[in-house]
Amino acid sequence: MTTDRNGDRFDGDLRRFLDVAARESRGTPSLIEMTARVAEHVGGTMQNRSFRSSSLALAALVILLVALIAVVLGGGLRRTVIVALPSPSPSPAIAKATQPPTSPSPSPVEDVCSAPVVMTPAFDVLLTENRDVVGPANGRVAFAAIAPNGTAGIWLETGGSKGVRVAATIATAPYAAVLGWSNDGSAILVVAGFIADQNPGPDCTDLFLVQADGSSVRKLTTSQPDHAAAGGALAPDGRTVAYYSVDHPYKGPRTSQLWLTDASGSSRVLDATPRCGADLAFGNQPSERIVWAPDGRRLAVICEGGITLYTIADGSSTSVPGLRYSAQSPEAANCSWTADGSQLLVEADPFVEGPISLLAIDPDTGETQVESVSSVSTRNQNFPAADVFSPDGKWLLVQRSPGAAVETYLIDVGTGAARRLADNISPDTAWLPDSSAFVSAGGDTKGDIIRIGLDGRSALFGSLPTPGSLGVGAYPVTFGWYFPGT
Amino acid sequence: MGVERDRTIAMSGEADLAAFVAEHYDRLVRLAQLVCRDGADAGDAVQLGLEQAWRHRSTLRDESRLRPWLDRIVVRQAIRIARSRQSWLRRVFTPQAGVLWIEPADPRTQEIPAWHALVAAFQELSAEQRAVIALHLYMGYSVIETAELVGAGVETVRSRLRLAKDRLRQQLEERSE
Repeated sequence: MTTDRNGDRFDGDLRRFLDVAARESRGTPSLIEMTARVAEHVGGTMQNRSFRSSSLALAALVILLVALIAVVLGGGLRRTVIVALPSPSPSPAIAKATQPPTSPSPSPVEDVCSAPVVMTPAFDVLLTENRDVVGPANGRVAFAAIAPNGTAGIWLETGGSKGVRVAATIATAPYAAVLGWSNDGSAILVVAGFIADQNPGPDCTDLFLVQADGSSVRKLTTSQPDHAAAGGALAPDGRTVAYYSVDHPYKGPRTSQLWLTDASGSSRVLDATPRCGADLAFGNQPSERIVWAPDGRRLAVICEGGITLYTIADGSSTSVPGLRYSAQSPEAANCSWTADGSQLLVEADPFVEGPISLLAIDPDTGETQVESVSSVSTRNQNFPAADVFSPDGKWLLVQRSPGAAVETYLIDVGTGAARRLADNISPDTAWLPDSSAFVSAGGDTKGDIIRIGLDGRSALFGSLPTPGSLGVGAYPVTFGWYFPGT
Repeated sequence: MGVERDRTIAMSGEADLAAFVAEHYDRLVRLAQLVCRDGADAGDAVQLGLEQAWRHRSTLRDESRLRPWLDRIVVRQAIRIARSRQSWLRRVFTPQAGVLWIEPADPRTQEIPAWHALVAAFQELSAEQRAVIALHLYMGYSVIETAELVGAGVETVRSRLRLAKDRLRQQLEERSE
């Protein structure tokens, strides 16, 4: 039985992994682009494949020439070259009809939302000295943590002798992530709920506003079986939350709206038809995709590689020109406002794999200035969500995974120069407010949080009082993974 | 009139194509993404598959089998593209970042999280192994159906599944010890 249970658990873990991995949308064409590409080719020849394939074909042609020379010289490259050549056209594949797929028998829809997430303020378990921690300027880190026994909580870590404190406990939620802090450090935005084990299946995640002193928890949304809240970002005032309200997150044509809601319960639609809200609207998508300006008057939203700027007061919006709403333009991967809100810093990735550019955009005029071009390429960018600007805008932390190891680089935004740090730093990272270091979830289940400086030196920042899986590091606004069951 | 009628027919065809793509896009991209582990390659595989299917849709007699038929076309394209990417050609054209190396100072940062371990282990599976994992565990096809879709024997698929899962499980266990 133990083996069976372990096997079932492993299968469950693997399915959750596949569900997340399949939704990595980096580099995939949008639906609009795909439709255009298919429409362009079905009426004509198959010669003009996508740019990447064309490039590969060209490269293969060059290799073929090299091979021919090698053959002439008696070299032994023939076999290798033939293997490496891409097929010039799709093989005819009119399949013998197969049986319809067996339904993966997901959990019944009703079951997913029938056990509401219970998040409890933890005032009574807070130690009094925690009151001395007055705000994020002290470098507190909030994170979701789940212990091996299944208990979950939202924890705070000061990095000092006071150790970790729990701000809220969570019952019946296998998934939780910290999405961000208010500017004054009084409130934390948390997403928690259920992620479908299998696809197709509904998610059931809701947003919660947790008071950092453990005094209260307010549930901001109420998910339904065919309707979920996701992708939230907390405004600097600590009251207003921008988030996606998603209908049928896994079924049929997904639709979503961009909403604003606040702690008092009032809500309004900011955009009833956001450009690609459905693509963003998963509970574990990075909240950086929705980025509040420091004054709370504007919102920058990344979707389909482009950036839309919303003005909160009147709901108007404008697209930043030159980024990926048009085919083959560079695409915005991440963005961050400068402290004074005068510029939007953008990590722009080329249409084809290549060096990333750091842009500074004037939100009023849309004027774009290239700050630098980095020596780090977009190749092997398996964790685009882990790319995050430092609060002072001087550094961009990126991760690449060319093989088994995960490489971490610090890119100087001004010059594009990169430093390579230790391998296999967790993508759950969060910058300290003074940009002197970032913290990262430890790589094991001991519940350690590691502080890593700009010089690459690392030290223990804090630990959970009992072993557990760290989900999300979060300061000042960040994201992360929690992978249940590990 | 003739021109107008032709235009109307063309627009209708485009609308049908758009609806066809929209209906299957999400599922196919996710399937291809699992096999290719590269967004652009997944996009290429889906594009090729959709083009192929659209051209030959009239040969499909049973509409209820459209989904497995499409999945089969796309997964095979994805395997083919992923295979080509595994060649030495890919390594030759991989740009190397010129960076300053800073020595790690704390062994704790060297410990690969379970998530990373899974990502890395999944990446190291062959395209054929990823395809059977994706079709069976993610898409919900039975082993027999998966075998038909990838064009392999049932026992071959069982073997691929077992080996792939053993490898992934081993990675997880090693990291959690």
